[in-house]
Amino acid sequence: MSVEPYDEVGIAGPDLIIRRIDPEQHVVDDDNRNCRRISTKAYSPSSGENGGMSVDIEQLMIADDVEPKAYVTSPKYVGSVAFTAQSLRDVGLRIGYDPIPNVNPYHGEVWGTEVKPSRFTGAQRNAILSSASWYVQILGVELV
Amino acid sequence: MSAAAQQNSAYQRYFPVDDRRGEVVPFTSATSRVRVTAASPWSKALESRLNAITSLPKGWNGYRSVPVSFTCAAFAAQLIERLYDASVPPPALVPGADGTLQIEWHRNQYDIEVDILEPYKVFASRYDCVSGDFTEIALSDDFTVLAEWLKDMKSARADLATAGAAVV
Repeated sequence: MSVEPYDEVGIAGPDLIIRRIDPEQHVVDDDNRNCRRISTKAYSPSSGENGGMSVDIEQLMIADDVEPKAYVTSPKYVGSVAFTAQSLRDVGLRIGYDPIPNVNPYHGEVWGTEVKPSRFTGAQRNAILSSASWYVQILGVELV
Repeated sequence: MSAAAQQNSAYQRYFPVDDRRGEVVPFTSATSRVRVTAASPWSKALESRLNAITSLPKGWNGYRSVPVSFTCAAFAAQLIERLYDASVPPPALVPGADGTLQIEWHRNQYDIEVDILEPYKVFASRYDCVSGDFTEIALSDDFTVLAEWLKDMKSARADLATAGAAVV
């Protein structure tokens, strides 16, 4: 069960927030931009109560002397994108720790506003899309 | 995927193939809420994709994800069948980590996305790449706006084709 949405003061503005991207499920053809790109669905929070968007907190891995790029590509190899915490907070999103016992101690969540934590607004979604940069690139796929 | 594997997949159990009619027929149970007879080329083209996303393993995205739920898949299949237009290619189907499903078209200067959170709880958005206009609406029981959006997208293609012909 997910934790109550909150904003973690221990996550600094410049810290990188990583979102894993499944190349088989999250990539779509875009004829408008003549490319293959990441679907906006990849950046959606879970729809249930307290649902957020799962992420990995890079700073926690570094503090544990864990290589982040190796960690987020195992056990299943997937691509990933990253945002700064500040870029998410600038549009009202909140970021918190949500470690998964025995699975992922560096797991976190990104939540929407207090009114609708499990739904990102159009502006918030656009901010996520525009601030995303590749962390582990998927070749032949655009961020757009 | 082998024929035997397809027969045993989650989606096939929900929509078993009736070989006599060559159609996909809904499995009817106390929990099924959507009845679908998938006969359009879109449905046939997307059948294996629906099979795949309803059979995803837990944690498929590297986090706490689950496969697309039967109810979301069934509702999406019904919606796709209703929206079918022979002059528009089938949409992309993108699973959500929470068992939800998004239907997408990106063509003719329109981005149309239909996010199915559960049957009759849908958020749809349209982005006009030319004007920059963005529309997002919540839908529950009237989905006619989606048919209108597809019609606009088709018209836009006709306009583009005409413009291309004029240039030539």
